[in-house]
Amino acid sequence: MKSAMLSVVVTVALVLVMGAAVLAEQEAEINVSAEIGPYAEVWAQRLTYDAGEGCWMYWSEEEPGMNLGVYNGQPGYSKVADSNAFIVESNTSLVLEFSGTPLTHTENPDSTLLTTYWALKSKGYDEEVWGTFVFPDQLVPAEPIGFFGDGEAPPFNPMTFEFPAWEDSLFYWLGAAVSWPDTWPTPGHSYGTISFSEIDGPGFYAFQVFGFAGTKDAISAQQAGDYHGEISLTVAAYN
Amino acid sequence: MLVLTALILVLALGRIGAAVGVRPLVIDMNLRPGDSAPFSLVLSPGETQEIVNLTLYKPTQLITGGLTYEQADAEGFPAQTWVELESNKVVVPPNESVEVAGMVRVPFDAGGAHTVVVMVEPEVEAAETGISFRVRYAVRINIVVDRPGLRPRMELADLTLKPDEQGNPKLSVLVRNTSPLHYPVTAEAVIRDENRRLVERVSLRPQASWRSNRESTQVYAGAEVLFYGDVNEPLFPGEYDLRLFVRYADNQQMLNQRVTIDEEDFSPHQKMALVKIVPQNVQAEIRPGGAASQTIQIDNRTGESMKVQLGGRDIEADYSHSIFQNLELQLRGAQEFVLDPRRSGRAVLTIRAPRDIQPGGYYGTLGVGVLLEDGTTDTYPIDVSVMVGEGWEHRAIVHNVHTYPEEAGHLITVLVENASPAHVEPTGTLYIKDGSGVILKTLNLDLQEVSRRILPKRSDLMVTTVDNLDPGTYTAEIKLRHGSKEIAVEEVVFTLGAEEESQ
Repeated sequence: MKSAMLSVVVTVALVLVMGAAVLAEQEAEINVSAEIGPYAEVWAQRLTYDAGEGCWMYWSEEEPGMNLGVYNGQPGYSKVADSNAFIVESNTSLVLEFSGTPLTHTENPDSTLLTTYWALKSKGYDEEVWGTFVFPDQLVPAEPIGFFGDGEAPPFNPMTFEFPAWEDSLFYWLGAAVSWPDTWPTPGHSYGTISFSEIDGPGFYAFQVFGFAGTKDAISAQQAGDYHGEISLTVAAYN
Repeated sequence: MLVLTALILVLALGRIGAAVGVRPLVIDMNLRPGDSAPFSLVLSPGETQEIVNLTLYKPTQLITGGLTYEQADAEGFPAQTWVELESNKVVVPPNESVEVAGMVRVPFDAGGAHTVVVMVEPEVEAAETGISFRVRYAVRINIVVDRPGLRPRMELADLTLKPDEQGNPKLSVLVRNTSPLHYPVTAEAVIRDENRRLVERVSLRPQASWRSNRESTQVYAGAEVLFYGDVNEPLFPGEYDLRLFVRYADNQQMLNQRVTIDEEDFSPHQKMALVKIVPQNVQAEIRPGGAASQTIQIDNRTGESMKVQLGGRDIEADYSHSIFQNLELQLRGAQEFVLDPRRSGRAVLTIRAPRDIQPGGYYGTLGVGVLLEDGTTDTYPIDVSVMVGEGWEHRAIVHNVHTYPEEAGHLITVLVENASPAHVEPTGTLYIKDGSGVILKTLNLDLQEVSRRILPKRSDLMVTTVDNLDPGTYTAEIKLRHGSKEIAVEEVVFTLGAEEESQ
């Protein structure tokens, strides 16, 4: 009996020891390593405030773009328009370079409009904008970055400048509030490119770009027809 | 009747390119002459099909420290012939990633650091009118070709102290990378008056690094970058010593210059403390999951109302021991308010530590900004340090020893890195031994004035001076302490002479 009991005890002890060994093996650390490379994705977004049925108003996405409308040829006539937002998603620190070309006649490259662009960092990024009763964060300018573009800036004349749409006016004045007193580019000045390097790590970042475009001070200085300009955003990891 | 025909200019809606993402944005390769190495880029899809062009560009570092890109031919940019892409034009279908393979082949006669940029440009549908938007990604391929005899070299030029646009003193120096290697550069200057009293310690950085709040700047092979910093303390007429320390790769250079300031050199210094802030730094000790609060009082010392803004600033971008990235900070009270003349305002700072936070020190700066009449802001910093938990080990690493001749004797600098999870307040002893191990000199090592501590994962210089020691090769035994605890013991061989470097 005693030997049987002893056998049981030994067996149980052996099972416990083997079990502990198995547990210990299962608990042994397995080192796993992975390296995630720097990554970025940029897209443009344009939001408009639309009316639904009844009194329901909501934000919706439409085709991105900057709509400066029609110019009637009047000299010294300027407009300011908002492109809404560039959204940047990244897992690393980035440098963004903004550059732009002046609006140039599509058939006569010597005919250009006075054109300058303006970049600001937005308050943030709201992925879901439908049903937002206040402004989505990507539409709220928070920090001025600066003016840019290869063209010359148009003059500011309160009598002959306008916003194509009420949203352009609203967001322009929000931008002006955070960048006061720098609210209009210096007429005749060409700003070249500007860089923004305060993207410090993973996340979503939003930026707004405004366009200032105006006719020169003589009717004959602009040829009638279609004009085309380009804004470029170069994205690179921080060097 | 003269009829004026209206000119109608139509600017239609522009078009936007690119929801394509790119990874990686940086590819680092360490190769030998004759090596070949593959690489690949992954283009992530957008919601619609995109055609993406891949073009090789040459990066050039500007004097501001930023990079600009241009297309170059093989004669002007031989490194681009080393890089082959399987395709220069790729179709990225919606919801489907595409991988683009490439190969780098290094010639047998190559050496040094070379960076080639692959510009990834989604095509934009050609619009006849309006403003189109183009996004492009500059992917850097950094190729370092190891070859015997390649050493980082640097020249410093034009160390100047001149007024900026507002008439305030600004220090600047031109850093020239005259070697075939890229390397990081950190620069700072110490200004002393004619009585050798410390006036200010000034950090110098290029424009790109000031904007991104980074202390160190990568300077590319062959580049020339302007480093500068504002001098905030008043410089009254008289003579001053400028001592500039520039660390590059594992090396260091020092430049000494004496300047004479006349009364008309800078605008009359208006800076005085407009506010009194209590406390001037915040220190707390909490356990993981715990919290601490501190009241900050701001007194308006002037006879005018002032607008005050409260904000935070990291020690530097991506700092691993950032208080803002690792802990939860809350300011009770308005972050922007108006203080009446001679009155006080208060804000309560509450700091909370997550339960799973790593024990150690966490640091940052609160800024009290006072908006001035001319639209600029005067900022008064409050250093915030929080010790979370306990039980960590203090440890430091000695990187190198440099010596510089002075009027009487030599200045010895020791670069020390804090490898602990919390700050250290190091003191040290440097024993200079001869070839037989006999101690010739015993010197005290201290941080330069203004610094009391070295934060985690950061480095600083400890200094001492020695005189009556002949030029020659010696061994420095360095013992560093934090309080009574020894945190480093190192021996470094160095040569005492005109401009020497440690081994």
